[in-house]
Amino acid sequence: MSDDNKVTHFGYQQVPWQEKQQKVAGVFRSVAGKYDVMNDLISMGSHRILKRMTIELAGIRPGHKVLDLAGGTGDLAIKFSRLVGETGQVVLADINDAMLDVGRDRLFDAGCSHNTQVTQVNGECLPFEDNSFHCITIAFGLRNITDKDAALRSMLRVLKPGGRLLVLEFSTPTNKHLAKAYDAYSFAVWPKLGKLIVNDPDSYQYLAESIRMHPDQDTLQGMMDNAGFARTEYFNMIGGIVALHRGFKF
Amino acid sequence: MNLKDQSRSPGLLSTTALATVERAINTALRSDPASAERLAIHAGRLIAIEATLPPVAIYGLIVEDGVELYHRSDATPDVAVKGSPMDLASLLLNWKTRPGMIGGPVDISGNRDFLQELQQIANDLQIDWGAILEPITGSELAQQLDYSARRLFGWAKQAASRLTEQLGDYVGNESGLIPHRRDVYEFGQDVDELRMDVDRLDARIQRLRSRSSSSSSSSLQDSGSAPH
Repeated sequence: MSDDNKVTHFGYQQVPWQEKQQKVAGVFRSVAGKYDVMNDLISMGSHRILKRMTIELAGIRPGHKVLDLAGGTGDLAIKFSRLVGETGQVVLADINDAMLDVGRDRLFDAGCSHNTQVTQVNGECLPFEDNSFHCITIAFGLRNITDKDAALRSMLRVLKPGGRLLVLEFSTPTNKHLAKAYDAYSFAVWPKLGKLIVNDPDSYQYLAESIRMHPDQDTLQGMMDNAGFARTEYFNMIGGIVALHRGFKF
Repeated sequence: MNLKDQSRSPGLLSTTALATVERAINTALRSDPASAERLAIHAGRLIAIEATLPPVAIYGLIVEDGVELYHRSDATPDVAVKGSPMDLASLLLNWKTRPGMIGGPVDISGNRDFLQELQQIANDLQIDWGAILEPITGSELAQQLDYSARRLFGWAKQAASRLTEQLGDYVGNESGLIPHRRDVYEFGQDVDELRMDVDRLDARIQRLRSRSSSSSSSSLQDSGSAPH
């Protein structure tokens, strides 16, 4: 099938391959200003704990170079900036300019501008040299990338040998009762909160749908293996609602 | 950190607990800007605190606006302290205990000046409960609560110091349940001395043996070469 005829999912909709990026951009442009508030509300604050756990598994030391991909409003990048110290460097990268604007301001306010860079990039074709980073993190971002395999290959290319990738993403609950409760909560409550806080229920309907279309834990681990990552593993969090995948480049 | 540690799944509850402690420390620091300023001078420095029982490690990274706590870190800490939770608490919070009475000594490695400064900041920290509670309760009630909290925490700190001191006295001197550190030290010295004596004796026996075997072989050679 030629690229012109290829389709992909945008939530439960099927859309032309080239359109997904624009549609996702529209979602994030709409919610950028209140993205963190909404995250706190829909996750009941748990996203902060999950990000802490990601940082703990990142193994970052002073002097490291870290890429926070789809880093949006920069909450991971701020922590990384402090961990890598004066001799290290953090690149906050996102495809969405509105999210990066918020992230840039937050990095500046947190006193992290001295060792951070803010860059607008497409995760499928990262504009960095081979073997550039000790660690790459992508938190709640891989789901929105159209060609995930290309993105994983691109991340592998820019990782240094010995470097690691951490993918924090919504996944598939391991318990069917939890899955039912989670479905009810996310489809019933998230769009209403979206309407109330950012006057955009559709973006949060998309969020709930896109999570169900995202590969489950084992499938994503297989995709990382296929991309060339070694020693891949995942950690289920909150009963598999979120999973943290990790892989190394050797 | 070894590979086994790296593959351990991070615990949701322990991470939440650590985040809560971090939040409490930073809230306390925000209410005492002088202490926060003294701490901020050390931004970028890392302290490792390792409790022996239960085995828990906490890494504290000093940042411009407070501290960040982690369960693991691959960075080399500026100072590392290791000991029982009680001994660590008495060291870091400057409780007045008799040295070595509660448990073993605390192992300290790295920059002791930095540790001393942290101890001093912890000791001098004056939490302004009024400022913390004012947005919730209003200023009048906040002032009352601040006064009560200061009295309560002052009392609790004194009580903790008295309790550990008396517990140390009782366990070390009166009950005889654990030996005094001095006794343990002297016992260790005696054992070392005995071991060195045994080593010397062993060396002497070896020397005598080799001497006797060489003299017996030379006497045999002498007797073998004698004319019949």
